[in-house]
Amino acid sequence: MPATKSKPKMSIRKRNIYLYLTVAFFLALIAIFVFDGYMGIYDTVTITTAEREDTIEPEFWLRGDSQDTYYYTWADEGQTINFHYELENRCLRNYVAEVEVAVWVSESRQNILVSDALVVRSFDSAEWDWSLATGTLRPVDTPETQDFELSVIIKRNDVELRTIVHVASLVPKY
Amino acid sequence: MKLEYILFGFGIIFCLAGVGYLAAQYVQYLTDWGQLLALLLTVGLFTCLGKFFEGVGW
Repeated sequence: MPATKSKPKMSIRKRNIYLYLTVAFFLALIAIFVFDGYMGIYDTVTITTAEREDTIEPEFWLRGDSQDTYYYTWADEGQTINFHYELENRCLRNYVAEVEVAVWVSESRQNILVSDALVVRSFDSAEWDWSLATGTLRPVDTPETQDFELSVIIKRNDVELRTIVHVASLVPKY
Repeated sequence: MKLEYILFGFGIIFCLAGVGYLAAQYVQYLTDWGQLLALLLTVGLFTCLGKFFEGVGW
């Protein structure tokens, strides 16, 4: 019976090196997920109306396309809605932010609430505050008994964060 | 005995599928560089794992 040539067996030491490398690659992969998930530009919006405070976390804005994602809130006509916007730069370099906040009704811009351009330093944040008086925003063609909606759009460079505000009329309908 | 192995097999497949699904969901939030690095690390991981099993005699 002819002797078959068997492959030389790998030494245990060399074999273990491959196992250690596998574990190291796996840990590096997890580290990339954690590190890359942490880094980036993050937007947090807090909306305060009467007794209600809603904080819209960055994860909300990251869902899907920024054109389709919007937050929905409501207020009675005459109430003031306070907005707080925080932009966090978790990048290794400075971020030049051009921020514009405007009120839109039926695809037309009504007024600009904030218009600012500034450099947010690495691992730093910037904040903006503004108020929206709902009593002065009723569209001219909307009867006083009817509720209406408007959009507050925060535009940060090429990203849009849209909040739709439903304003309820206080005039009795019947 | 054989049934147990089949069930183990199913368990392992479901675990891998679950981890793969979660990873695929998460990967879409990574930056382009993060995705590239994760891909290279995955290739390295499976290469080393393959070499290890080759050494074991599989």
